[in-house]
Amino acid sequence: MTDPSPIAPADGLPEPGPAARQPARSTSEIVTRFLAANFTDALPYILVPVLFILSVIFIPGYFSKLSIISLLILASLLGLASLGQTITIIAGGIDLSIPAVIGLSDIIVTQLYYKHWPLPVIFLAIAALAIFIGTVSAMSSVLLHVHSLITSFGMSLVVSGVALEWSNGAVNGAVPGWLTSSVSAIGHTGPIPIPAIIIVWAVASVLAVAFLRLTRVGRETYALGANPVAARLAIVRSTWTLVVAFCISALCAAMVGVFFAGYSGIPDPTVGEPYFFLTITAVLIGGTSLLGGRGGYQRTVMGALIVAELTTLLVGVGFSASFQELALGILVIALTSTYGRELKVAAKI
Amino acid sequence: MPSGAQTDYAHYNLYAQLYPNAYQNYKPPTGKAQFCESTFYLGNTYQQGEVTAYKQMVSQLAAAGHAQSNFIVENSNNSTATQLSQLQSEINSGCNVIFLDAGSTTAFCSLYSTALQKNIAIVSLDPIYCNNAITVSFDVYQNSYELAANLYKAMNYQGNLLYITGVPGVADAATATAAATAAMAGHPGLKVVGNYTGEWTASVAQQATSQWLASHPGVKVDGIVDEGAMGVAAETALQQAGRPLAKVSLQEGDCQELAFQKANPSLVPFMTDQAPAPGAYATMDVALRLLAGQQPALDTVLYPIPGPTTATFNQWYTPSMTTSSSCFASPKPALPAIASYLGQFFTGGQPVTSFPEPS
Amino acid sequence: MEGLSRSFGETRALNSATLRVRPSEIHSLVGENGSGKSTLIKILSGVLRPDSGTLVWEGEARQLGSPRSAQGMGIATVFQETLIVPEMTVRDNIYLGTDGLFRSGHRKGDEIAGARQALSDLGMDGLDLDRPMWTLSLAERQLTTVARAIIRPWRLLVLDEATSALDAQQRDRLFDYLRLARSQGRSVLFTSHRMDEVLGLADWITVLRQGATVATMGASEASRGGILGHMSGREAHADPAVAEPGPRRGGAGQQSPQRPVLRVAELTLRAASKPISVEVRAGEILGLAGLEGQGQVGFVECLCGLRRPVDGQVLALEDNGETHVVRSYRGANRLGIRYVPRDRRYEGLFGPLSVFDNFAITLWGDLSRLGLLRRQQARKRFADFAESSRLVSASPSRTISILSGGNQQKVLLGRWIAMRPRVLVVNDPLRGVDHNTKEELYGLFRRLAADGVAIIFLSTEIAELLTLTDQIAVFHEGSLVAMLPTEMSSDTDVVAAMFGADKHDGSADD
Repeated sequence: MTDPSPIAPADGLPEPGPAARQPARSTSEIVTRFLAANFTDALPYILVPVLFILSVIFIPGYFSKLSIISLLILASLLGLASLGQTITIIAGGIDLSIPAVIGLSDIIVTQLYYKHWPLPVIFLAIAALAIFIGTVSAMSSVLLHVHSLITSFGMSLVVSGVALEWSNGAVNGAVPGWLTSSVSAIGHTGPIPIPAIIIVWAVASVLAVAFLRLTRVGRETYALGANPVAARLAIVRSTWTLVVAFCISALCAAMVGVFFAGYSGIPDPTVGEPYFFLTITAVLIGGTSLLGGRGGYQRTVMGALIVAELTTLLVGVGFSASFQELALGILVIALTSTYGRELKVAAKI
Repeated sequence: MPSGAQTDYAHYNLYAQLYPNAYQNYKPPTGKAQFCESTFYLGNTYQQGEVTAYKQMVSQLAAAGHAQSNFIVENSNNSTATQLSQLQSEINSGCNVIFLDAGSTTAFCSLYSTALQKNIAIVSLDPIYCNNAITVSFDVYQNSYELAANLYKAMNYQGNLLYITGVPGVADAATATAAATAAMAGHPGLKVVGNYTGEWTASVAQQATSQWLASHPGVKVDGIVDEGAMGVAAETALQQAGRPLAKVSLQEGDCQELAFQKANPSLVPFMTDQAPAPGAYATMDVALRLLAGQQPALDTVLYPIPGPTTATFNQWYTPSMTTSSSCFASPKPALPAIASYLGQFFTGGQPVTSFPEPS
Repeated sequence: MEGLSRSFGETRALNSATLRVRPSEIHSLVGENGSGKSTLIKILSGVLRPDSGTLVWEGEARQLGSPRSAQGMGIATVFQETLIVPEMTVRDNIYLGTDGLFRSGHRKGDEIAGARQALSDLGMDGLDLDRPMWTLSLAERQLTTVARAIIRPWRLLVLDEATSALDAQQRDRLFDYLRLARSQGRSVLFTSHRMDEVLGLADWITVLRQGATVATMGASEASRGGILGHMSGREAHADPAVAEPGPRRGGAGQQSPQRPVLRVAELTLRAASKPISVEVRAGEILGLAGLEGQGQVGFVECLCGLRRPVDGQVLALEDNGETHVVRSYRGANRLGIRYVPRDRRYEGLFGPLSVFDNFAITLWGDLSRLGLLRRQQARKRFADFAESSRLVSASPSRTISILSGGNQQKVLLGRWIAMRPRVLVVNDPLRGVDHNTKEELYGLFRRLAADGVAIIFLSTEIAELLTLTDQIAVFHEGSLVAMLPTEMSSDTDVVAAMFGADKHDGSADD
């Protein structure tokens, strides 16, 4: 998705002579360059505590265990849904089928549990379905030479159609009590007074960061997103990497669907709809670029927290839903334009 | 307008426009009538319940030889343009009666006059803003007013309220809020601390309520004004947040609400049954009267919604209902009241011997 | 222009350069790759801003904020890359950029007249203005971009390598036009790598080296050797392309013949070309030469499995005598055949990734266990490679885009060399790389060959091939027309073969 300037020299940078490499620099120049290059990097990490402090100031009683846990639950749902999105975006694609998979998973869990299917079987079925969906999205993108934006969107229509069909006869659904407890602010995970979803998110975050940094597939994901042509020539396993990315995304979406089922207990195929753009928002606010090849899940964690905090703050201060969307939109534009400039800014100073 | 119906037209102008009877020159068809429906919301248990009720009634009519045995349904999935062409095709393909859930109050007006010229009766379930059809709808304002007034009374006119509204921009949503607000007049002890949309959808209402609770940790919630199908979801959110449950008047009459009332009798001062089956029944009632040559007094018939009281509760509630159910209660207890109420609007023609009932 | 300086990140492209052009003067700007010529021209054309320095135009100090302001002042530029819109017509390409938002900049009749005049000045009278650009030859396209520059009233015409595609006749016609302009009081600044053009056309010559102006001289004082000497900072050489050729391959130091590792059997590149059969031995460096589009790139692609030949096979030969046919790119890699692509920007670099990641990306297949990376081992290989190739880099975890082109190329080579290839196929790896890096990389290739790696080296610089290789395979029209032993061949021999004249026997057996 890169678009090089046609007038730039063919190699990107002009050739220096050997002696002309290090221009003399003053200390202030060094400091300013460092700040400019790293400030935008650190921005999401700064915003999280800042927004929290603002919430504590403007919302009476905010600094309490229940409030913070409620915030973390909202962030966990978004964070888990955005986990796969982060990976697909780094790989140079994008997954628009996340809301549809969330809805389908919600329907399946509530319906099958009501019909007394054993839970492990239900989870296996959902996982298998998710892997199938992810594989089809990825493979169709590769085989048809079409961007995954299009294939995942097509997949999304198919999946939501299936979910709607299935749920049209749906009259009753049920979920196990512990699942409801896992998304309740007063829920417990065994002896720990924290609802299970937060712990699941924490574990998933660590695994996601490790995946991207320490595994071969993770590294190849970055290469694929940075330059797919060079990746092929560098014997990166392009197809496999994309399939893995989309399967992880579908599995995470399915997991979120299961949690949503615990949330309300009622089968609802549309329950994932707000997540169509929210996952992309969380990824972008965290600083991972839509161009691919850069970023990381730790940033999306920050992005999800920022979205949750901002929404909570705006609701608490009394702003309407439409204003919340406006605020999120402005934040996305402001942040992504800042992130995109970091290299140029550092070079210009 | 019949004198016995005056109260049900309170503040009708907030959500309906009235026109004179359009069926003066209408000639009912002979032989078996073809019944059709044109609707726009897909994937909704309400819509599903509606279609099921119609199908049951049509098959009863077909068994008695009065109707074609198939019931044609066209669903436009929220697209006005698609519904326009679907309605057009139903008009052209032999429907005698079209039950209409109009996705737009004004977009199909020209089609109504075309239908009337072809002696097709269009019976709309929601108010429309033009003539040449007949609307059979419940009285939104009056209904919301009673729900709210009973809630406030049960709260002793003191305490914090949450308003959970329907889809913004739809007339019914604004009307419900206006009615609930009007019922607050003269009671300074009541305070609205939160006002947000649940889009008439349980999951949205639950998430929005959770979000609101997370943002207002110190604020107590004493009462919830549920503007349709969202009350139980909001209570679930309260429970999951570790907050005490609030009082709520429930209006949809679905299994969830009845189960909630059973489990928390002190929290539900008032209930109505705005379920799809009674609504379908009312429109079918009017359609059969039109087919029998009866003339309505005006083009919009508004009826009050019946509901369970403490005395009649067990006619509605069955033990299989839980707060996770997504079914509707059987409409049977509600139907007699509707049937007797509608009669006052019609004159002339032949009497209708029996009205089919959904189960 | 005085005291002009400009840096890109850590690299300083211009270091207080100066340039003075007078009215009625044709001025030539010369320098090696990396001397700062292009940067200076871009500053002059308003594309880049200098970090420091002054520009004085007709007596007034000016700031050139944008190309439009440069054009407004009367500076017309023809850039090195032929910038055209292939689907648009000749006339539209000439008048590109003149239209406003809603209205056309000129009336159609005026455009036709203006375009005809400009093309006529340049000797292209008969060219149909409504032809789409993609139907034109490269030379015609290049002249169209010159026409685009001269339709505006100009005082200084800047030509950056604008003659590279022209044949002798077209070039002479262009030069006539330039001389005519000079007589009218206008000036020309041009760059060229061809000494005959510089000496034949220029009135004044400015030499840049490492971003600074090292010499200015009038045409009468200039000599080929003198200019070259200033450009390279060393004593003059007869050979303009390489300042100091290293020791020739072959000769006394050659070991006993090694076993063959690669065999090309009756390979046919195109329908009408002759089959090619070649064997390459371990430790041998085989050069590939030819004019543009004569088949050497296709040959390279067949060797590494990127392309299927029309007929014939490429076989990898194992030590134990087994042969394996190359059927795919991955298959070739598994057989130890590694390919270094030509275009590092599009085919090699992972821009946002770090230096280390760019190096190690190919290694993870071998260096990971159960999917987890063995970073320690990869780091060690990187450190070894950095040392042996004298890679200069701030830290391997910085992004690779801050490195100079030469160092980037080292990393990309390292990516394949670290995989211990049996056969290394390189596609013009040293194009656009600065001088010193070239020297270092020549050494690297020689060491690899000494270790037994067979190297297939495609290059567009004949001098480079003469320095580095054992044999040179010359391609013409999709066939191998000559196999020249490097020791005994000269520049002229290679060029002659490129044009199809055979000095030696036309077949290419070992």
